This record gives sequence, C-alpha cells and structure tokens, in this order.
Amino acid sequence: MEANFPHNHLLLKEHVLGNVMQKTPFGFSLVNEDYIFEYANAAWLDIAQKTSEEVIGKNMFELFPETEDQLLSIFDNVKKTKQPFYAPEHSVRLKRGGVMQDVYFNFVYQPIYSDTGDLQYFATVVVEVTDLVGIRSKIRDEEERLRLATESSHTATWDLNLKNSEIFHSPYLNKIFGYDEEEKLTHAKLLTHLVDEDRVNIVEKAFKKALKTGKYQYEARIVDKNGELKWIFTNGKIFNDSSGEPRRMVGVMQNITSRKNNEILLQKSHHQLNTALEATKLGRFDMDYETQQKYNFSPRSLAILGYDPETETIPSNVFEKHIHPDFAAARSEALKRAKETGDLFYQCKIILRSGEVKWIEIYGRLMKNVGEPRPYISGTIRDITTLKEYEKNIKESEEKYRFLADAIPQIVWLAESDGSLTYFNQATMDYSGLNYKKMLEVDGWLDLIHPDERWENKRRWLQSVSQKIPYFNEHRFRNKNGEYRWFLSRAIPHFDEYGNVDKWVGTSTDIDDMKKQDQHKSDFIKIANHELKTPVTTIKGYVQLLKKMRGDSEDKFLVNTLNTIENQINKLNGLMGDLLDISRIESGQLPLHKNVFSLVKLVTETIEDIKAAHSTHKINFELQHISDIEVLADKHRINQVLNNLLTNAIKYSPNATKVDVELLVEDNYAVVSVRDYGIGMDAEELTKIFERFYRVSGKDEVTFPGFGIGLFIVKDIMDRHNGKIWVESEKNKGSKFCFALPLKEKF
Amino acid sequence: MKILVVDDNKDICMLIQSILLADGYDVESCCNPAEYKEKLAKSKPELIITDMLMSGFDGRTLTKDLKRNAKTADIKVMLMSAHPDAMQICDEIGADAFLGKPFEIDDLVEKVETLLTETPELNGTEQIK
Repeated sequence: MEANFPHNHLLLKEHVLGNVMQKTPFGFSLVNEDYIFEYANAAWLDIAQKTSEEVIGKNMFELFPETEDQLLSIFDNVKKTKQPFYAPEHSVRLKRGGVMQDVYFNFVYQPIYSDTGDLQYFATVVVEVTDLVGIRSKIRDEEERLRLATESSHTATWDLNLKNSEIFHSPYLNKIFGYDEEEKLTHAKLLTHLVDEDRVNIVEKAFKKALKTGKYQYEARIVDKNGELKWIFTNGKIFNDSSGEPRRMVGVMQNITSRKNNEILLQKSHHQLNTALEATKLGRFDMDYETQQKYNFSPRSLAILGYDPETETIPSNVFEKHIHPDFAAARSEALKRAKETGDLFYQCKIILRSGEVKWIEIYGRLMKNVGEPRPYISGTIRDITTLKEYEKNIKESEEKYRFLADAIPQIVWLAESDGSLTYFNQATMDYSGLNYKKMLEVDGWLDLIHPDERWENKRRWLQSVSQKIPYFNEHRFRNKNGEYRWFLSRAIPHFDEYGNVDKWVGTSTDIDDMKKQDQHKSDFIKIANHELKTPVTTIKGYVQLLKKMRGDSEDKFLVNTLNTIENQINKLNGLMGDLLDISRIESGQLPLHKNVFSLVKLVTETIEDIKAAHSTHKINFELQHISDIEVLADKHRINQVLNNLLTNAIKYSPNATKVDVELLVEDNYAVVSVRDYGIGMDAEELTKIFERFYRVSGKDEVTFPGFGIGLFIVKDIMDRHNGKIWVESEKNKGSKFCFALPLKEKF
Repeated sequence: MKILVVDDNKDICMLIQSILLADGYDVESCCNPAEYKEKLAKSKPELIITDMLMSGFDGRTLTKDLKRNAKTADIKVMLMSAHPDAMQICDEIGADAFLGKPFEIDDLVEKVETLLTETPELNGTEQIK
C-alpha cells in the first residue's frame, strides 16, 4: 500500500495528522534522504526509547550507529528499486535502557517521492514483535524438549485420524519398527508388523475396548522391518468430535523388548525354582529366630509336618511341638551355631499327631537384613524318612557283607579303579599277621608275596588294571610263621553304568595242598611212565626180534600174533606218552626244545611214517610253495601235532580211502592242512574238540579209541609256539584241520 | 670186545645183546656198577650202550667219566632213556647217540652201525658183519 501525503496540504493538516500519528499503535517515523529524522510518533519513540527532542533533526545513523550496517543497505536497495521493504520479525540489536538487546520488529520501509519523482522521505512503520517471537521460540524449545524426552525414554508419539487412518508420529516410531527416519509409514503398514496372534488376541481387542472406554492400552509383539522380534507398549486416548463420534486417537508407544525379556527370564527362573522345589519335595519356611514362631510356611512344609494347610490352622510353634525329644538338644545346638555362622543345618526325627515318626532335614540361613524388624531364619525342610531307611538298610547290608567277608577263610580284598588296594578282610590279617594300615599303603600288600614273585605279580596286576580284564595269578603268600603257601588270586572289575571300572573285587584262595597233591600226581605219573616203559621196551624189543627171526615162518598164527602184539604195544606206548604230556601241560612243565628245521622235510617224513603204518588210506601231499619253508620250533612236538592230525584223519574216516595234506605260506605263517572225508562234526562238537577228554562219536554211537586228549595237547603245543590251530568241518562230509606256525623270520 | 651194554634191567641187557648178536656184533652186558668196572678194566669196548637212570648208577656220570678220561675218551657212548627229554641231555654230557625207550630194533641196529663205521681208525678191525 502506498501512503500518499499531498504536499500542499501538509502544513494545513499537520496538527491533525500529528494527532492521528501520535495515537496510532504502531511506530511511524519519517527520515529524509539524508537520514535526518523529521518525524517520529509516540509509539516509535517508545520502541526506540527516545524522546522527540533526542530524535528530531538528528541523523538516524548517528543516533543509532549500531543499525547502520543492517539498515543502510536496505535503504539503498529501496532507493534503487523504489519498492517498499518488508521485514517481518526482523531482528535488530538495539541498546535499550543501556542494555544491548535482540529486538524483533515487523518493519515496513516505504519510500515517499515528491511530485517530481525525487525521493523525499523514508517512512518507517514498525511494530515490535519481540514478545511474539519469544513465545514462539519458547514453544519450539518446548517441542524439542518433549521430542528429546520421548525419544530418550524410547517413546514415540503418534496421532491417528480415525476417519481416514492418517497417522502423524514422531521419528522414533520409525526406529521402533526398524525403518529409517525419512521413510513414510502408514497405519496399514504398521499393522502388518504385528505378530498375527497378538494382533487378533490383543490389539484388536484393545481397540474395541478403547472405543467403549476411551482408553487404549496393550502390550504386543511385532516383527520389525529387519525381522527382529520386539515387544511394544502402547498407551493412547480417543478424542471425539463435536457429535460424539471418535475422531482421533493420540498416544505414545514404547519399545519394551528388554523389559519383557527380563520378565520372561524372571518368570522362567521362578518356574524353575518352583519345579526344583516340587521335584526335590522341599518345603520352604521362614521362622522367627528368637521366638521360633513360624510366619511363612509353604504348603509342602506344613504337609511334611502333618497338616493340611487348606483346612487347618497351624500352631505357631509347629517345630517345637513335633520334634522328637531325643533330638531337642541337637536342634538347640544347631540353632545356636546358626547364630554364629549364619547357617542352620540339622537332621532330626519328628512325631506327627498320628504318632507316625519321620526323619526331616533342615537347611536354613539366618537373615539379618536392614529394614527387617527381627532376625529370622529362611530355610527348607525335607522329608528324609525313606532316605534314612535306605541308609539304615545299606548299613545293615554292608555290616552283613563285612561280617561275611571276615568270616570266610578266604582272603578277600578290594581295589580302586587305579589298582590301589583299599580293603582286606580279617582272614588276610589272620593269615599274614601283617598290619592292616601298612597293607593299605602304596605297594604295602607286596610284603605278603614271595620276593621271587613280587615283580611279576605287580606287572600282571597293573596289566589287568590298565586293560580292565580279570586278574588271575598263582603266587606264594607268607604266613605269620614266615612260611610260604601257594595261593590262587582272582580279581574281577566291577563296572559302573558308563563302562568305567569303579572297583575291583579280589579273592585269594589257598591252593597249597592242591598244588602239592598235583605235584605228587605229576611226579607219580612221571615215575609210573618211566617204570612202565621198561617192560614195554622189553616186550616190544623181543616181539620185533621174534618177528625178525620168525617173520617168514609158515605159521600164520605166529606171524599174526606177533603183529598184533607189536601194534598193541605201540598203542600202549602212545597212550603213555599222551598221559605224560597232559600231566606236564597241566603242571606247566612241558618243555619246548626249539631248533630251526625244514617244515617241508618234516611233513614229508611224517607222511612216510604214517603211510608205513596205515595202508588203508592214500595220503596226497601238495606243496603250495616253491622254496623251502623253515620254522623255529620243537621239531619233535610239531611232528607230534602232524602225526596226531593224520592219525585222527584216518581214524575218523573209516570208509574213505584218502587224506589230503597241503602246505602253504600265508601272511608270514606256514600253514599245514589235513583234510579227511570222514564222519565230520557239527557246530556243537566243533566247540569242544580242543577240550580235554573229548571224543567225537560216529554213527550209532560208534566210539573211537583214545583218551580224547590228543587235540588238547596239539592246541597247547601250537599255543606255546605262538601258532594257531583251527578246523572246518561238516557232519558226514569230513573235516579240515589246519595249523599255522610263524615263519623263522618272525621269531 | 666190541660193544658193552649197561642197564640195571637184565631183560633189557639180554634183549639188546640178542639183537646185536643176531646182527653179528660182539656184545657183552652188565647190570651193576661192579660188573661194569670189571668188564671195562678187562677190555676196552668200542661202544658202550647205557641206560640213563639206573638204580645206584647214573648213565650221565658214566658218560662224563669216560669222555673226561683220555684213555677212554674214544669209546663211543649211546645213551638210552625212557625219559622224554633225555635226548637234550646227550649233547650236554658228550654222548655220541641217543636211543629212546621203547625203541625199534631197526633203529638200534642202524645207529650202532653208524657209530661203528664212521670212525676212521676203527676201520679194518674185527667187524664181523
């Protein structure tokens, strides 16, 4: 708007205008082109806090030098463009009342031109808006503070238009839902983040409720944009429009994930504690330490004491009332101790109202917390009646077995999994006269054993312990008179459920008399054998001599008789040899005299010998090896083995006409096999043939002569050569016996 | 005298004597220490066949004594025994051969023949066979 002051009437109407100007509520001044004030109304003077005398006729920039920088350019610009300059809420630094201030004005600088078009005045209209600006900036500050407050408390604010679902919200809402701040969110989009179950069960229900009550509140789970599961809490309020219809809802939203997780953890541990209490059948109680009155007993603890907490009133001195008199002193002692140490523990018997006696166990802690009026004991109570009975049974049973162990004449001992001995029965002490404690020291038990056998004994024991295999040993124990007797010791490992040895149970049996008898028997057989051989030698010799002299006689009876006598005397000699062998095997006295020899030669020679004695069978020998086969073995014994297998093959194949022998080399072993086509054996028989005194039966219980010890001796001979012996057989088809000896290089 | 048989069992002495006589050897026998000493002093045999274990008499000591004495060391000794491990003892005491009891007469004859023929200085003596 252009103010127009007609020059001609100026002087005439000066006083009228002056009055008007003076009273207008905005500041008005006129400066001429030289910036000299020609007029200023009261309002202007008030703003500038100057008097009319101080202003009129003065240069503007001399009067307000601080404004020169800001205003001079504006005026220049107005001069140039001839356009008025509007400056709303223009900040000017002014000294008012001697104080430099930021003052805000709405300015209008209006150029006024003369009729000739020359610039005559700058009219300044000014309204101070410092207060208005101040208020607005305060509001802004408040808003900022609120924003900071809500965001730092992880709270978003929102404002939902219920008519068109338009939502306004603070940027923090983006953060809760995992969006960047600049991303635009819609109400519909936000709803998709709710966990389906919670949207149906919680949010939609809360919304319905809010429509009725005006209050909107829920806790629910969302899956944010990044897939993270979060808990949110919303609290809002509904605003109705003038017609009472819900128009908008305003509220806050918080991310309560960590709180919620803690709550869940707490719930879990609470649940666990309850489960533990339940599982261990523990009752809980709090009790006044001084008066021993109960004030917080869990139902289970009352049940242990024989009360039904739901229907009965419980006497306050419930412990004292039921404690078994035998344990009253022990309990007082435990309580006294609790005062010193803070911990309460005792086991005692209680007598219930029914007369039933129970064992209970009390664990507690004396609580002397600040803020608690009196010290009290917080603890647990457990019914240990069955445990006590079990303990009692175990103790009785343990005593029974200990008595048993002590009563038997055998030596009984126990050892730990590492082989250290931890127990000897009374018989051990009675026999040895040794000190029990000393026996239990490291290697203390070795004192009992004959010095010649100590090292071997320890070696075998440690071997059994490390391999977890049963221990067997024959050794001499010294009795209290210093004499040694032979004992057979055996120990068996006892395994726990994980297969570890948890202890060894050992026994040592006096076998001295048996051993002596065995020696006598063995000596007797040796002597008897030797003595019997003299008449056998004589008979055999004379028969052969007779045959030599009369073998070509016409007297068939004489010849046959001589042959029969010779055969039988050879058999007798063989049986005597077997008997001696078995006796020596049993006493471990069968000696081996090893030499290197050709197995090929031995097999060939043995077959020749057998052929000479048995004309019924053809013996085929197949050598499956090019070069000679040498072994280091007892030639006589290997001959015995092969001889035995060949005579067996002939003996057990009465209807066959051949026996096949094979010799080959396999995996550093020389393997000899003897195959017959005889009666064979079934699986059950196969398991027994290497046992002593076992004989295979033929059809119709036909038995074959012999002691049934040949294969037992054969097996022992092979074992002692680190060899192997095995058999394949089929009933009524025949058998194939094989033995294998390590080749010479292996020794 | 060629061969002297030493055994405390007369029957065995007789048997061996008979077998070797039948083969044409000059054989004498004795069955106690006194008789043995007497026969040995009378004439030196080429071969002594002795049992190992005899009552009051030990074939091993006998053998060792013979082999230790320079005058008798060249006499061949064949040790006889029914003991199953006696063969091993032979080498230890220096006996020249072993005969297990009971024996095959062919085996005895073969061993005697071997012992009496293998010694060069004895060749050409009064061997009947």
